Parts: sequence; C-alpha cells; structure tokens
Amino acid sequence: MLKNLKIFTFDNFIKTVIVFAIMFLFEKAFNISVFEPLRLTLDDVEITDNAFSSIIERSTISADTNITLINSENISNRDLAALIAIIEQCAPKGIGIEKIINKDFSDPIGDIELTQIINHNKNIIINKILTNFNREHNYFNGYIVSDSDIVGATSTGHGNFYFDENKQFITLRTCLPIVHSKDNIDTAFSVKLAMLLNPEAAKKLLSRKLSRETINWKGTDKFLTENYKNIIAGDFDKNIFSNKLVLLGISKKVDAEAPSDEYALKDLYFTPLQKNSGVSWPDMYGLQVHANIISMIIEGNYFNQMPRWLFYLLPILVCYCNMVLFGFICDKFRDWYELSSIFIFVLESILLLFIMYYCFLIYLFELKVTGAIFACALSLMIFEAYTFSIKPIIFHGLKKINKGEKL
Amino acid sequence: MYKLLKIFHIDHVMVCIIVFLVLKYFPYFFQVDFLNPIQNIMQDFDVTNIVFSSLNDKKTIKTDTNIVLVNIGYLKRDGLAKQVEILNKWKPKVIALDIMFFKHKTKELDSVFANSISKVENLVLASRLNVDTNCKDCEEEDDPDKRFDDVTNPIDIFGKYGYQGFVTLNVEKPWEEVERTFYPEVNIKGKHLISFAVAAARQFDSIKADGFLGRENRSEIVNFRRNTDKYLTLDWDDVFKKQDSLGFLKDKIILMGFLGPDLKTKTLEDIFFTPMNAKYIGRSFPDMYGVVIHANIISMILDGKFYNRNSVIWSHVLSFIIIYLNVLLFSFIRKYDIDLYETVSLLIILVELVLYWVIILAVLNFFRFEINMVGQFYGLCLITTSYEAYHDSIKPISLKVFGRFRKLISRKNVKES
Repeated sequence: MLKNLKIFTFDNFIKTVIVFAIMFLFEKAFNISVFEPLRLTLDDVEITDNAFSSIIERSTISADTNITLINSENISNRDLAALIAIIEQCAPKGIGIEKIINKDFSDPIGDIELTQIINHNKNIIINKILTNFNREHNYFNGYIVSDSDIVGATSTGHGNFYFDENKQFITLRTCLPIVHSKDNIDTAFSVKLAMLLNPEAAKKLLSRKLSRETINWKGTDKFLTENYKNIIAGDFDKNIFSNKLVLLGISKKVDAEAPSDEYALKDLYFTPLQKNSGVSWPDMYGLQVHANIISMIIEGNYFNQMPRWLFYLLPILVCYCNMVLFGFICDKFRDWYELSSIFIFVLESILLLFIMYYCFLIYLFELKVTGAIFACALSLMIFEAYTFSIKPIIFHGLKKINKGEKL
Repeated sequence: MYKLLKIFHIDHVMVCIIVFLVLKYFPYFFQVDFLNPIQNIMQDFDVTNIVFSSLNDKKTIKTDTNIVLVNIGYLKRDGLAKQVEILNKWKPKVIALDIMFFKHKTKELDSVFANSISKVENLVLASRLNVDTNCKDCEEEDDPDKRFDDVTNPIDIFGKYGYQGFVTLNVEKPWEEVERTFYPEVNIKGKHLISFAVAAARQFDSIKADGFLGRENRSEIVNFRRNTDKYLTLDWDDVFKKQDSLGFLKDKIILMGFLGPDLKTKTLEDIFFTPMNAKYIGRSFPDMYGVVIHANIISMILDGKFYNRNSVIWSHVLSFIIIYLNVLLFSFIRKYDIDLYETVSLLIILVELVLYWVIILAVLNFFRFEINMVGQFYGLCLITTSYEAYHDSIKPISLKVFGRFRKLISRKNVKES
C-alpha cells in the first residue's frame, strides 16, 4: 500500500509553497498598529514557560547555598557601608551591589564611610546600567554608573537583561553575558560575580559565545534571603556569608494576594515562573534574576538553542509530510479523509508539543514548534483548497483554452 | 437557483449541531496543563479593550473639569483631616473619600478626623462588599445580590457624617483580571446599597444619577476614557503647598484616594488593569488606580454616555442564524460548482472574520453597543471543517455502515424465510 505514496510531486511542492506564502502574509497583516499589542503578546508566548511555572515540581529544585540575597531597598550610604563592613568580616567570596550609588548630601560622613569600605575591598562588583541601544550598530551608546567619588575604580558589570525591549511587556527569558558599548565590551554583573565564585564556570559560559543565554530558572525561594536591618542589628548567622556570594539589592516576594504599596513597579520583571501568561503582575526583582543567572552559570545548566536552519526546516518538513499523507488518504480512503485529517492535525500538534517539552526538560534543548503547528493547521486547509478547487479550476481552464473555448 | 438552495434540510441542522458541540467541548482541550499559556491569553482577550486602548483618540478627549482627584499618599488621619479642611474651605460640591475607615485608630486621631469631615456638606464615604464565601459559583455569578452577603461600613463616628457607597469593583483578583464592569447597586439582606461613584454622582446631580440607576442593569460597562492626565489632579503635598490658591475647587466633586506615594511613583496598591492599558492583551503593568476608575464612572454618569450590550440568549440565537446561513451558502456553492467550493468557502470565512471584527469594533466605538458574540467568532473558524467533516466523512461513512447493516438484516430475513 505504501507504494502508492506519492512523495516527490510538483503538487506537494506547490501546496507547501502556498502554506508558507500565507504564513508570510499573515505575519504582515498583524503589523497593523491596532493589532500591535496582539502581535506583541503572541510573540511573547512560549509554551515552554509552563515547564518552569507548572510542570517542574518545585520541591525537586535544589536550593543554591552559594548565594545569599540581602534585601537592602532604600538603604542609606551609611547603612550600606556598615552592612558591607559586617559582611566582609565573614569572608564572603564576593559582594554584588545592584544599586547605582549616588552621594547623599544630607550625610557626607556616610558617603566617606562608604567610599572607604568600597575602595578597601577588591571583591565588590557594582551594577551599571547601559542605555540608548543602537540597533543598527548593535551597541549601547550610554550608561548610568555610580558616583566615581564614592566607588572609585571598583569593578562594574552591566545589569541589563534586554537590549531595547520594553520590560513592561516582555517576559524575561534570556540574559546578555557580554554586550558592546560604543568603545568597550561590557560583561554582565552576574557573570562578573560568578567569576569571583567559580572562574572556570564563568569561562565556560563565555566560551559559548552566545549574545543571549536562556536562563534556567530556580525561582526566588531557592536562595537564602535576609533583610539588611537584621544584619546591621547583628541578628544573623555568620555562615550565611562565609565563602558565599552576597548580593545586595531589592529581594522580596511579590505577593499578589496581599498587595502592598511596597511593591513599587521599578525593578520588577515578568519571568516564565509567573503562572499566568495573560494579565498578571510582574513576579521577580532584578537582584533575584541575577541570582538565578549566577546559579545557572555555577551549575553549568545551560539551555541549547535550536539552530536557525532547523527552525525553518521543521515547519517545511511537517507541512510537506502532511501533504504527502493527506494525498495518500484522499486517494485511497476518500470517505475517511476529512475526519482523519483533523485527527492527524490534533495528533501531530500534541506530538510536537510533547517532543518540545521532552527536549526542554530532559535535554535542556529549546525546540521551537509553534511554526510547525501553525504550518500543520494551514496544510489542512491548503491541501483541500488546492486539490479540490484550485487545481481543478486551473485544469478545466487550460482545457478550455486548448480547445479554444471561452473561459 | 431555488432548487439549489434548500433552506431547511436535516444536513444543515446536523452541521450546526456539530459546530455547537465542538464549541462546547473545544475549550476542554485547552485545559490541559501544557496549553495554559494559550488559554490564559484567550481568556483575557476582550474586544472592548481594543476600543478603549487603541481606537479612542485620546487627544480628542477633554479633561473632565467636574472632578478633581486628590492623592492621599501615606497620610494618616490627622494629615487627612488637614487635607479635608483645606479642600472644604473652597466649597466643593462633593467630597468623596475612597479610603477604608473600618477600624478605630487613637482617640485623638479619630476625633480630629471626625471633626474635620463633620463640616463637609456633601460627604461620601467608602464601604466594602464582602463576597459570600459559601457561594460555590460566585466567581462566574454576575448577580451581585448572590455574590455578596455582607457589607463593611465606616466606623460610626465617621459614618454618621456622610453618605455611603461601596467601592468594591467587579474583579476579585485585580492582579490577573481586567476591570471592565461595575455594579451600580446591590441588595444585601434587604438593604439597598449604591456604589461609591453613583453616590458621589448623586450628590452632584441627582437627576442624572437616578436616570442611570433607572436603567436597572445588574452590571454596567465602564466607559473608560480618562486616566490621571485627563482629570485635575493634586498630589498630597500640593494641597498643603497650594492651599491658598485652590479656587478652582468650587462646586467640584473632589475624589480623595490613593494615587501612589506620590504621583510619579507607581505601586501595586489599589491599582487595576483596565481596557485603557496601552497593551490590551497579555502581560503589562497595571494602569489605573481604583479612585480613577470611580472618577471614570462618575464622568460616564454625568456625560450620560453609557454602554449597552445584547443578552446571552440573543447572542446564541444570532450565532445559530449566522452559522446556519453559512451552511446554506456552502451547500449552494457545492451544488452550483463543486470545484469552486473549497477556495470560495475559505475566502468567505476570511471575509466574514474580518467583517466580524470591523462590525463589532464599529458598533462598540460609534454606538457604544457591545455585541456579545465570542462563540460566533469561534463558530466561524470551525464552520468549514465541521461542514466538510459531516458531508465528506461522517455522512458517507454512516450511510455505508447503515447500508451494510440493512443488507445484513435483509439477508438474515431471506435466510429465515
């Protein structure tokens, strides 16, 4: 029976071309400004987000004991100096300050204390924000850094997670290990901190030479978190700092069911850990994102991305195979064609999604199948339109022309 | 031509039944865990969002000068008392406080505040409706009388000085739902209660407010037109700094509520997603504080620009008619020229889907009428597949099976005879 499979035919080729032409037109149609939010939303949908938010059992994710987060929101320069001094006494591997430090004119003594302590320690990395991304030349034109009178020559790392996307609307899935500024190459804040903890692991990341690295999320509850006020008050265990990376910034749980004025919408991000992919609140602070990135670097759990050629080949392959299969069913079992084609589409979609999840969870491989599913759905319609309509109409038209009849 | 167009035929009805069955059971497919992201987005989508977010030309919408918003920031009762005193000095028509005064503070603070509000001529205070926790289907329930079973009022020493209106909005989970509608009035345990915005509007213009209540709708679509940029807005410290130059407050409705620690800093307290959000679908930051939603409701009542919508029954009837007409049209095309059918049916559905959006958006935008036909949209998407599945598979297979069964029976009868 399989001998009747007509694999390489001109018709199948034409049908596949029509499917991709329609996919192309569809994308263009969505570029109308009214549909912009809809397009942005659909662009932002990744079914694999569900793996982090629902499928992976939270209890199976191990806590990262290499990193301690300290919630130091609205900390004064004087308190920051005191906090660093206390942490330093416990011999941490490194301290990361996710804050732009400016002079506090109301407390110059606090500034002096902070200047002294920061310049005295060599294992401090301070956050730096890159601005004005030039998409044409692929570099950042500006930056915001801490006051040089305070931080001196202390090492900095960029804290950007995006190039120029609007963080209000885009789910944060990737980080930027290295980016280009106008005259410089900037390493990420998290990568620099990972270097302090495990230089080999950080080098491994850099050797991958990817401009964007997909983050393997642990969550916010897998890191030890303390409030700076407790530490300054001396109410803490020294072991939480010794031989660890200590990150200072905003770190607290965003509790939607207990809304609070504390949650200022300034350093919050949407991550795949947020269960609701529709209307929802952002769920993670920047500092917690850095902690997740560092954890991924240290554990070396990187996601491998689908090669570009496979991204285009997979939908073409699925579409073409469908055309062959539909043609076969249509020839041999006409009555069953309509029902079985729907069944095949549903089955294929489920199978593709299953393979995608399997690759993602087991092999840490990001297989993009949405294009293939879309092509699969369209192949159904185009097969019928071409086989039962377009082709017969053209065929009859040509016949009439050959006979010299009017169309 | 008429012979080709058999209007009433069992096949047409069967196709309609298939469409409705698929419509009913198709959503279950998306309840599978791994399709959650798609389900979430489909649930959020509402056509009103496009109108309020993109089609309304914000430049043409004028500032509503009847209402002045006052941010209370983190002021305590003594600070609020001072604010009220300053504002009341300028003789506004109504002062409405979107603030929960359900608990006593210190005696001093309470008496200072009570003394301050006692001087306000038309005061509206906020009460809160409490959801009936025993009601099983209350989340889907659109009848507020069933959904709520109790009301929390301001403490007596404040409550006696003003009218009360409930500030409770329709959404139960503001962190994952869009606020689109509100309840103008509810009846709880025999008590008739009106919403905060309606109570404030009634103090300002009782004829318009009563006219609005006369529509007797259980819930009303909020005509979202303005955010803080389209109202006269005072930050908490502006009231103190500019206390001698607030003459514009005379005869206005003053709405006092939380608009952030200051007007520049947005927080997640008492803030909602509304259809005015620049991004009308998917992830975005919440865009409107509760007190601004009340302001929009008051503006709607005073402007008399309400939204209407068709009932669910009409929606089903309309959906059936449109699906039936399509089935009829497809049957006609198939009989007229079967070669044309596949391409033309696809084009027809494509044109209809575009028309569907255009009509719904136009009617909503120009006539403020919401045509509730979500089912019909999915029905249109499914119609060709259902039609073909029935005519080219289900029907011929059933006929063959039936034929064989009949042959089998007749053979059996022959043998027996």
